Amino acid sequence: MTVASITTDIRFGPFIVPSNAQNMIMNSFAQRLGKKIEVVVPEPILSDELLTSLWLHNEFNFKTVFLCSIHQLPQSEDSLENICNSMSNTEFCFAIEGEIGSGADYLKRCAHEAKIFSTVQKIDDKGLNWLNFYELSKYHPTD
Amino acid sequence: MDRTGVLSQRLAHEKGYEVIKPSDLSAIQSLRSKLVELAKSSSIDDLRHELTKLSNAEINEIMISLLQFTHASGLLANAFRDTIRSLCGNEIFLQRRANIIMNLPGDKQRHQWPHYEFMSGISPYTYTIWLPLHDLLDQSGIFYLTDYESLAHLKKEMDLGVANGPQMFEAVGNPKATKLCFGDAVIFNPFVIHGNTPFESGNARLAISFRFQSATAPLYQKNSDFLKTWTLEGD
Repeated sequence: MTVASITTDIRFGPFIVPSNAQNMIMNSFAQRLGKKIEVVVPEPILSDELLTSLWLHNEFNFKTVFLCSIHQLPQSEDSLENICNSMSNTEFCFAIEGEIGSGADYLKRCAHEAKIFSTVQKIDDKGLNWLNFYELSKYHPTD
Repeated sequence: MDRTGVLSQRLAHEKGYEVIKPSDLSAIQSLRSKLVELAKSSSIDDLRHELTKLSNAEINEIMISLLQFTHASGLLANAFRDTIRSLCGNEIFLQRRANIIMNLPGDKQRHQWPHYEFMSGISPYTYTIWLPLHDLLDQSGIFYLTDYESLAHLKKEMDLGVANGPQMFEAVGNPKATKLCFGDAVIFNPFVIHGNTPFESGNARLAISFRFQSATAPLYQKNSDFLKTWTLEGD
């Protein structure tokens, strides 16, 4: 029963986080929770399936895994289902969001929330100044 | 959602801030009790007094331990659900971790310097609710400039090419804190300049604040790091 952290591609969701910074973030959260990371799993870039973690889970039987964010969960339903089935008893801790839990419902809820954040409209600030933002605040975009 | 309502108009086009009451005061009382329990104190007044004996580093440790109180913002959102619903509808983005604020009396203690919320990268469609965890009938509370006054400072800083520079500190002059009873809260728009000044008292000032926006409004720099999805209770 092992505690692991998982580093991924530096780009996930809206964030760009270098691998060493991912480790700092996860270690800081683990420390706050009184846990010590024993294994660092390096997932390959350009993939969000967490296959390396699944493969190592068979060997180490992870009790707890740390990820930086809910945005690092697989986006495809099949890949997420795979994680839910294979790591149903593993506790998942998402450092940036401060979320802790386990089981398929929890993981699917986190993935669903990540999807909402990924699809919601964002303000493009190219060419905008403070006063433009002030003016934006005066009218809701759907008014 | 009634965005043409009185509160919406006042926040966007008039003063920029308003004193409001919660829909459910008992929820605020429960939240305060939980906070006192997590801080290992026996009452809010004891906690306020105990905090004055601690260093800023020790207070910071308490603040870190309170990060586990992750459901505080949900309790607060439901306590102010009627106000929030009137501005944003039922589906909102809600600050994941409410800010618990501890200010100590005395000249050299940290306090909230004048600022406006948009500086942090929240969406311009965000509202903030701030409430003290006890009566605030002296000058230890928060002061607010009106939206009109705040805009003048924003324009002045833009002309100078600075953001939150020394002019902001000088701009505030001799502000008067808004007096509030426990249960009262202030809601304000993200461009209203606010802060607090050093105060003299035998007790620390404790407050809590949280931010929210409609789920249909665009985000800016804050994402899942700061916000979570939330559905308000009831109709």
